[in-house]
Amino acid sequence: MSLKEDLIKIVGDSGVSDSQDDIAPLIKGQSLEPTQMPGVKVSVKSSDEVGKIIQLANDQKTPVTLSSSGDHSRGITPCEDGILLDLSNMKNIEEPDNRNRKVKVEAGVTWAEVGAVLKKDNLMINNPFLPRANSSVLTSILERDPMLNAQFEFGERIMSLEMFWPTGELFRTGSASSIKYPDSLASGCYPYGPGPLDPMRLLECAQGTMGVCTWTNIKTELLPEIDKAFLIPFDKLEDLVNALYAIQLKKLGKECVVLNSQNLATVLENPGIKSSMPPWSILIVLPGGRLFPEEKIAYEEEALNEVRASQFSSSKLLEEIPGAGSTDILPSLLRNPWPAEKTYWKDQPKGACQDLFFIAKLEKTPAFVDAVMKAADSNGYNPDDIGVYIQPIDFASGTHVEFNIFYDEENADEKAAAEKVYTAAIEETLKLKAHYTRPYGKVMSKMIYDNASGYAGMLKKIKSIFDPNSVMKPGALCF
Amino acid sequence: MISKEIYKELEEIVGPDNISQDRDVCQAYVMGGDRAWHNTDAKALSTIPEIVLLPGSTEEVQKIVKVACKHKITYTPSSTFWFPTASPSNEDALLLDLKRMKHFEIDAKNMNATVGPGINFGQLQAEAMNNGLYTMVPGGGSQVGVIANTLIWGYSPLTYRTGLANRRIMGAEWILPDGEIVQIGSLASGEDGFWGEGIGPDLRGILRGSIGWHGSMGIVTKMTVKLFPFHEEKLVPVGTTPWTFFLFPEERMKWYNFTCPDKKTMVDFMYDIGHCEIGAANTRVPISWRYMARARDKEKFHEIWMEDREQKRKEVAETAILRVMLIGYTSRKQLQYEEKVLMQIAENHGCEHRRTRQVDGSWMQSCDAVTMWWLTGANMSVTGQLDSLDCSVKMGEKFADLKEKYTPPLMDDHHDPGWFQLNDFGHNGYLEFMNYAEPYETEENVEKILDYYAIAGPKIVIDAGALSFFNQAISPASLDGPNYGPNFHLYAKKVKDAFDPEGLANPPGILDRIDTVIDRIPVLKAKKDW
Repeated sequence: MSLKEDLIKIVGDSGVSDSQDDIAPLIKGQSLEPTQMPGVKVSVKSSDEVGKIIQLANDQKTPVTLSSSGDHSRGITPCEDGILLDLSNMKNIEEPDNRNRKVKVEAGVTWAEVGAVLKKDNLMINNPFLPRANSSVLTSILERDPMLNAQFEFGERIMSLEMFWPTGELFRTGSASSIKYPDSLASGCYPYGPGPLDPMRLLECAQGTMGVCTWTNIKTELLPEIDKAFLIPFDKLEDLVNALYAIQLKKLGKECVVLNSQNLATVLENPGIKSSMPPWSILIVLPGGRLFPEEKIAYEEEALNEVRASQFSSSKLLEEIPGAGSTDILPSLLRNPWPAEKTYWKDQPKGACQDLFFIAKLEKTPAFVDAVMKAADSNGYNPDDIGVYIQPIDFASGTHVEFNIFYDEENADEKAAAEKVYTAAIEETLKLKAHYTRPYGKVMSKMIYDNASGYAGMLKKIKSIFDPNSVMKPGALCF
Repeated sequence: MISKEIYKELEEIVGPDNISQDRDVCQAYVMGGDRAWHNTDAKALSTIPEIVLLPGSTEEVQKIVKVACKHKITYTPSSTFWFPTASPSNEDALLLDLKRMKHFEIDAKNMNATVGPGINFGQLQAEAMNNGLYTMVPGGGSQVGVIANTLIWGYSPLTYRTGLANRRIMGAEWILPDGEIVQIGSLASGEDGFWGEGIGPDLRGILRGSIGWHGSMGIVTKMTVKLFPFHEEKLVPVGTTPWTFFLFPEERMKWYNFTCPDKKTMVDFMYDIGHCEIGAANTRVPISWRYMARARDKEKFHEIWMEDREQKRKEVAETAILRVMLIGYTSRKQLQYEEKVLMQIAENHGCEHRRTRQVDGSWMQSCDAVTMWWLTGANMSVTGQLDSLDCSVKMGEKFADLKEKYTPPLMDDHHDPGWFQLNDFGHNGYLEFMNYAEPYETEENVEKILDYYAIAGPKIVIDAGALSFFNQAISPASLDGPNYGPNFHLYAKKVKDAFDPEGLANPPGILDRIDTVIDRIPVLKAKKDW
């Protein structure tokens, strides 16, 4: 019996296709990396089907690549002739557990879908920066897309999850790990273990190489009814860095984002105002509390003014975005995915975008920006056109530093220049000890793991323990 | 018996002043037997080490582990010697006392500290607070080692804001059981240890889960831990040892005690505090703690705690006291705002605000931990329940019922439902169900206590479908394993076997420890029905 026939036995005729027309939309991504065509796509609707397919893949030693949504903005490189396991039809969102502030979502649930459900109860999941509306919440969080809320207390959004090991065995983590779950006293509010291993950590940023996650319990938070947002402009990134440390030390605001003028103009969909934008901006939202919301905003605003006076007096707390109106638009902009009906913001400048991002200490971000801009300049790419997004994490004890290299996919010269900038930027930032926690694509992962051979060696050993047949996306990462 | 040649080999690594085979010296590293009865495995397994070593550096630890592997000698690491797994459980073992490894660096700007195994929480907290930062200090006390505790447990009421221990582990230098070193987190990229996430899959997932390996997956010789914004106003130490406290700067931090109409209302109150995103700690006060605070010594405690038992039982059943800490991290006005919110919630629930002293001897530095832990001479929490607050409360009730069947020999706590609190800004809860017993009991009573800890307790947790953070430290993996994950123990065993095929790192290892205990004690073995 062929692989396709075996898969049809599991999910039925309609769930299996080896037509390139059916598969192509699922693997089309935004990446400079060339993609490969899997042999067959199988769409699942239940955990049970996932387990059977992974077991089948082990029996037949067939590689499996995961897909949870239509968004592959970092590229997806399926294994040639393998199975593309499409989880995007796993759409269940359980009734939110508002007492314990969590919601259980399956792998195919998107930011737009879960946001619509939670808003009814004035709740939200802390989201990353303007994700695509059709991107999977589960994948985004498992892949460690940083949230905009810089306060530590709101982090570690996954509270427990269900997974299949690469050998096809079902497993649940944390306090959902009882075999009685969900008919148990524990409701899956605790993420780690059980026992001395933490499978959740192994799944994080594994790009589907360490197993399949089918659902998670995710933290929900209060969606404030009122907020006050500011734009704080800076001419020099060094000055912004000092200001950001001071703001975060005082635990001010929730959403807190740094953009350069290129990215600020882009997300405001008004490229014409780029020249009137400050070179660097902090966007910060002071949220109202559940009780006495105005008074919470008042004490935070007073403290923010005091920090400004003592630490960055030459910048102002602006309530108007130069050329773009009131900062009142920011809370809604920052707490929602990019509208599905609009061209995605990263596609607006030139049609395509290659992202480059890593974790660094905030104080080193000026050096990283300098290095990438020089790499752009020396490879025929205008540094002013590169978007920069800096996300403080956990009170700015670390930062996500992201460069957006916009290019026209149809313009060979431009695409080639973007490729050169991308590779050169990785090289230059590695010299400055950038911590690439999420190496996407074979080019990057080779460069990163070559630079961290000890870590790569242990990962290979772990991979061989849990995936002895090497079925989960072989060739990705360092194994 | 370890040969003289091997002794010489080890002596060359650490120098003659840092190695000993003297029986009296080695005896000091035994936890269990006549020295102290701490819990089941200490009693059944603890043995005297053959050689004690005090390495002073990562390189020395690595060399010792490699010598141990070469000669197939077992080894047990210990830093502050708090838990029974910090002493050997088999003959001819090396004991690595890591207390000389006092590496300490603080990076206040990036809110972290890098510590060696010899650094304890007292030292860490003092330096953190000198830099306008803080962290939690565990209930075990401020003398507890930072690395060991963060790898294994890491809970306190302050984890309401400082998070679960897994999130405080950043970069780490880890000597694997075969003596190879792996750098995890940002150390792997050549940076310092400011960040914990891996390159791709996160190897912290191998380093610890809901519990740690207790030395059976190698030795962490350096760890960067996260610190948190505090405030700039000083906490003034007052009093004379052992009755010392921090005096709170009341405009920046305060305790609030509330008497609630009943336990259900108190729990609803606690949830609301989390929902309103305020507070720094949010914990139930077990009634026995109030008597401990009044008693000042063990004899007086027993006198006042055991008098009029019917009245005490009524008091325990009907008293619901909530203790909340507020901190004005941002400003004095933050404290004023949060106090207003807190009082509004209290009013909504009909809870009465009680006067309390604005001092702390328990959590900012835990200087009274010994008083708490050694009330009767021996104590072991039978479970640390991790899930929602509601789950913690229900498990506490189940344990209170179970404990009655084992009282005496356990100390009567008048059906107290345990100590529960909110963690993780109210996203999850925590129950610690404490038990007190005298160390020198009859054999029959000791066996009864062992049954409670190692079999009856774990069984009711499994039956309820709850998760104990003590699993494998007090319950057998052969019982727990099939019920959680399922089969988490088999996956962990695969990892252990791959990295330590000879089983030299602190045997029998956390996965086999309690099963070994049960097999060695006939009365427990007879009860093994799974």
